[in-house]
Order: sequence, then C-alpha cells, then structure tokens
Amino acid sequence: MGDDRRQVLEMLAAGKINADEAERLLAALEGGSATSAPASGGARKVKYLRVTVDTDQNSSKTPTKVNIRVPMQLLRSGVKLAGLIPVQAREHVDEAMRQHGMAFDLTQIKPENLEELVEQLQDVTIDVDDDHTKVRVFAE
Amino acid sequence: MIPWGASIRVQWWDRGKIGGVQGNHRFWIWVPLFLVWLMLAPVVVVLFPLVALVSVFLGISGVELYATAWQMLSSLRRTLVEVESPEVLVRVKVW
Repeated sequence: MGDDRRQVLEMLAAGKINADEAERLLAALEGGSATSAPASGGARKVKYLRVTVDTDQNSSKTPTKVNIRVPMQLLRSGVKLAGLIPVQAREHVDEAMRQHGMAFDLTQIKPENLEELVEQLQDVTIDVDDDHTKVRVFAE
Repeated sequence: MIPWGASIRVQWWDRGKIGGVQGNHRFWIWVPLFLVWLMLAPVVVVLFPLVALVSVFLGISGVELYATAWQMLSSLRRTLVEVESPEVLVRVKVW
C-alpha cells in the first residue's frame, strides 16, 4: 500500500500525471485498501467468562466437576461498583491487601481498563493442570 | 433487564457396592425471582432516603449506587453454576 502511494507521488513529481489524476489514483488506492482490510470488526463479542474445574477419580477427594458461566456484564458492573467505594475505604482495602502481599490499587481499576481486558480475553484460555485437577478459564 | 426466574435442578444417583447406578432421582425447582423483586421493591423505596443520606456522608452518588446495583442485578441473567460429583448433580440457572 505504501509503495503504491509512493509510486503515484513519484509519477506526479515526474510530471507523468497531473494533480487531478494523482488525487483520483490515491482515492482509488484508499478505497481499495478499505475494502480489502481484514474484517477485524467482525471479531466475536465476548459475552461470558467460563470457569471449569475437573478433578479425576484418582484424587483423594470425591471427583468433582464444576462449571460456572458468568456474564461479562456482571464483571463490568462489579468494576463500576468498585469505583463507587469511598476513597477512605479504598485506602483501607489497599492497605489490607498490601499486608497480605498483594500490591493492589483499587483506584486503577476503571471500566475502560476492563473493556480492554475483555477485548483481549476472547483469545485467552488459561489451563491449569496438575496430577488430579484441571482448571480452565476462558471467554466465550 | 433483571432476571425473572431461576431454575435449580438436582439429580442424584444410587450407586451399588460395585459402583453401578441403581437408581436415578431428580427434581427441579423454578424460583420466581420476579416475586422476590416485587417483595423487595417497597423495602428499597423505604430505604432510599437512608441510602441517600449515607451516600452524601460517604461522598458518593446515591443514584449512581442504585444504578450500579440495578446493572449488577440485570447482568445476573444467563448465569450458570453447575456442580457434579459421582453421586449428585446440582445446576442453577438464572434467566
């Protein structure tokens, strides 16, 4: 694409085409790139967060399957709710989490950050496997 | 839209000594959540002034608090929790 534009500009500079013709060629190139661009807007929208846990019969505990599906909207609302926590309470929460070894800052959790995370989640699958348990977290 | 109901399904199996399934039982409960909201609505209305007062004291918007709570409630729709063990299966669906 960049090469085509450069070629058009070089032809204009060399006098092989006039300004009107260059403009039409550039417009045609831009129109062609818009139609040939990958349809990234058609990426599926993430609606649910799914957590599955599967323990097998070799586990000392009773083999169990857990399947949880949570709408993403609930997470968004949770983040909004976190934003409503009063500043004094937030500081207390942050301090308590720091004492437990989690350097967490509630003020940094914003709805737009979550939207970015949700967008990326559609391609993320977290698999945790050990001898007796499989945990899978993914978005669908 | 807030969830109208939830269904709870419980299924359990009677297993013999060698592990085979000898009996299969199930029951299903439909929980009309809309009745729960109807019953809670007057409570919410009565508590609104108190919540507004507390919100002002804490420096947060009472209206935004109610709006966020409503949004959280609405987003509960299509939540599914399912736990299955060899003897019992419990499935809760909110819709």
